[in-house]
Amino acid sequence: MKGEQFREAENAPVRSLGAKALVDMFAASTNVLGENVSDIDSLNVFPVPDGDTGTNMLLTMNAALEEASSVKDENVLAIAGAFARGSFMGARGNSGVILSQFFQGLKDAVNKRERFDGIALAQGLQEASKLAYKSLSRPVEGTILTVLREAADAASRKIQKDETNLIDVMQSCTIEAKLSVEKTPQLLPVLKDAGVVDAGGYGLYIILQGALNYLKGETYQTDYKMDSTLIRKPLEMIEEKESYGYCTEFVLEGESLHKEKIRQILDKEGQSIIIAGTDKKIKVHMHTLDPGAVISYATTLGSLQQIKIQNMDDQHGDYIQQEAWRKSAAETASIVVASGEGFTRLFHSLGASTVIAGGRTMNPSAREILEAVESVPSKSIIFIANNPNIIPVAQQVRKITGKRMEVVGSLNMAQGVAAMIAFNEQSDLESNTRSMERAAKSLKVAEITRSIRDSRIGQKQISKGQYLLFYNGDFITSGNDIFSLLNVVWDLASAHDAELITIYYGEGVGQHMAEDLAGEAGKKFTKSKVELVHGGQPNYQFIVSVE
Amino acid sequence: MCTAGSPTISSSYRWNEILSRELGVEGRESRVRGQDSGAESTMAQELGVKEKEMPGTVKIITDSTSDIPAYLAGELDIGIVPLTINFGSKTYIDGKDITVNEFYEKLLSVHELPTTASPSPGQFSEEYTKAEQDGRDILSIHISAKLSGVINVALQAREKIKARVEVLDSRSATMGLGLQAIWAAKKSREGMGLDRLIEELKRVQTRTKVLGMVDTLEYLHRGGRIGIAQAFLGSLLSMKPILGIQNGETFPLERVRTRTKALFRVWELCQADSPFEELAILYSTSPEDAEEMLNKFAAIYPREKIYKARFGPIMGTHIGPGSLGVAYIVQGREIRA
Repeated sequence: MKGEQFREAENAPVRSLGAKALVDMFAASTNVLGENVSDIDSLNVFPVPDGDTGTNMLLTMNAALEEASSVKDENVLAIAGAFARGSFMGARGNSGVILSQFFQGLKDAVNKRERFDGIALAQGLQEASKLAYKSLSRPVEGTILTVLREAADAASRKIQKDETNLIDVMQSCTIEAKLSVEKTPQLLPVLKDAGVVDAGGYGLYIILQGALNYLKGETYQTDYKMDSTLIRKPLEMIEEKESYGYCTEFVLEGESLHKEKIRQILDKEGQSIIIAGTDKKIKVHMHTLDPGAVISYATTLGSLQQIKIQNMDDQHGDYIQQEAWRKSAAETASIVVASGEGFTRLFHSLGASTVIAGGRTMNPSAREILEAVESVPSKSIIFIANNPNIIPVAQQVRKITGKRMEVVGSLNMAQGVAAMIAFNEQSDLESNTRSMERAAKSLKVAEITRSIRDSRIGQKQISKGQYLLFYNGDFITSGNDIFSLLNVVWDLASAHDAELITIYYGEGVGQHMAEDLAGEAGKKFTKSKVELVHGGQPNYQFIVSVE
Repeated sequence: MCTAGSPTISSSYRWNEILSRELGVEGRESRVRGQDSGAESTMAQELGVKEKEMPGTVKIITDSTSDIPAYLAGELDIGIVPLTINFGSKTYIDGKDITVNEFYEKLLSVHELPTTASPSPGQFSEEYTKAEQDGRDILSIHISAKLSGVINVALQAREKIKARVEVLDSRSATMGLGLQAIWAAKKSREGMGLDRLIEELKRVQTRTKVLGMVDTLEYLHRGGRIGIAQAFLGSLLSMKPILGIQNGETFPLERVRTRTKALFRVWELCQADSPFEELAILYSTSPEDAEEMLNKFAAIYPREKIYKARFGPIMGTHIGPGSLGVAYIVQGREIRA
């Protein structure tokens, strides 16, 4: 069945929609959005590779549509509710959250109406705007908030004049949205400097335009089809798969035993070598994959006693079980979002109960976060965001979960590491949140990435491929040489006074280069320790913290 | 069961007996029941006996893991049974054959970790017998049984002693043990008897805490005590753990990345437990850091009452140079009987 009859007469304007047509309208919106995704993604203030506003809005819309398409009830309230639910669960990034508030507003406005008309749209937009402003502690004008508000006001003006046809109201708020988007650079200087309009605002306009096209009959794709390339993989947990070998111990009695020489030889056979004793009697402990070889060698030096060989894989299995038990019994569990194998391992090793895969742009959905929260045994959760775009999504989840949940607003994974270090599973939720927030926020972090296009930031001309340096979230400068960019970091962070410099190198960075960088820093700053970590993070070649 | 002291008038036990009779008070039991001993002090003053010189009826004995500064042990008449340290084949008696400075010098210069051994029963007997001859009861308080076998040797030694010897597990170590011994010695001097001492000490133990930071994990690692701590520290190399002694065991409490943060955090954690009844700052090789920590605490606790002590060879072997800790007894509420 190809949509219901929604015109009374061939040329009559669309007054309202029933349930099925409402779904079709937003399906049309989503298709238009899909055609513009990469444009919206690239509408970043900075020409950084992890712009994902378009992707996030599309994925959120997809989730909303999926939910709405599965509803059997052919009534408008049920559909509106499904859109609200679906977009809430599927919300990714700040723009995704605003979209979910958009649908929540529409649902509230529909209420007992039988059809979705211009009044529902106008009231819905007003509701949505109120929700959006209320949810932010510091709403910023010149963003999607402004566009939503001005579109809502235009719609309200229309119905005040008693013009309540859906198509008329949609037309006026779409026109207003476009104008509002074009004005955003005047409200937000960074947009002006970058020569772009606000991405989220533009995405909202596109959605309204797509809906308007549908109402005008200008689009023929009413059957909803989800873009399968954007389907996310389920929650992953990276498990350690290295083999550990055998823990091998023995006492060796002989004559003129030379501990150093023995150590040198055993060094080739394994790790964690401990040798203690005299020249006549020594105790040896080590981890090796070939205990037989070690024992054979030792028998050539004297007589062996108290030989103990243990399979550490067994032990390790026990250890993992123990850890799992320990985590389940813990009062407070921590959940972290991370990207990059190294970072994921690191967070696990520091005691995170769950690490949610952030994907290439750190944009998990509300559902992914909620599932992680619900599936840990603990009733108290500390959520470490590691990206400003994840914070609003986490706050949404916090509102609906039955568990006690606090969000640590770390802005990047280095701050997340600081938060995780401060995590104490014996402490209560409040003290943990306080100390973790404090640890994260006080950490000075530099991030280096490459420009995705020629651009201009402030007065600086950027060429595609140049390195961009951000420090504590602010753009500092660009350059072709990482070594000199790091010198800027050392100055900004007063590295000569620092005790510890940590360098996390990402995807695509060679180990040798990373080691060279770390080595140079070590030579320069003799007071400080330099630790090099293979984070494996996408998009940002280097993340550096100084403390 | 108490034995009579020597008949000379300088025996403390005899003084107490005489005074009690003069006051019409029925021996030591009355003191245990909490009767006012102010009259005794007045009497002592009248007799020209300096109250300070009168030792308590109970002799407090501990071991050298307590890290009590020598002058303090002397002043408070606390007996210290020494452990031994072995560097290779050389044996040193803790506190007698090797000073703390010498110990750390050696620790940093040798390749292998020293080993430590509990005192022999004979060393305990020596201290017990001295107290027995003075006609005193003995409270022998020692490092947590979960951390060392010292207490077992004490139990062995007391078999041979006729005087009353009570062996108590401090459920702590270093000055967590030391402060309990100091507390007991002060109370004993004020006249508290053995039964009451033990009863009160069990409560004091619930208020006794030790926590501190280590500068390097190397010593914990080499001593094989890394265990839980390694998992706790995760896979980053730079980490300064903050450890605590609770319920007789060492626990990793928190972890921090830099020394400055660790020192600050130790201060923060401890001062939250203020007010204190007793307080000690402990260090292995960084007197300046200890002084700085002491200054911080001087703002919330009388400076002259803060003890400064060093982590002795036993602790030092496990936590290494650059460590800093705080031991304290939290002020208790007054329990009116």
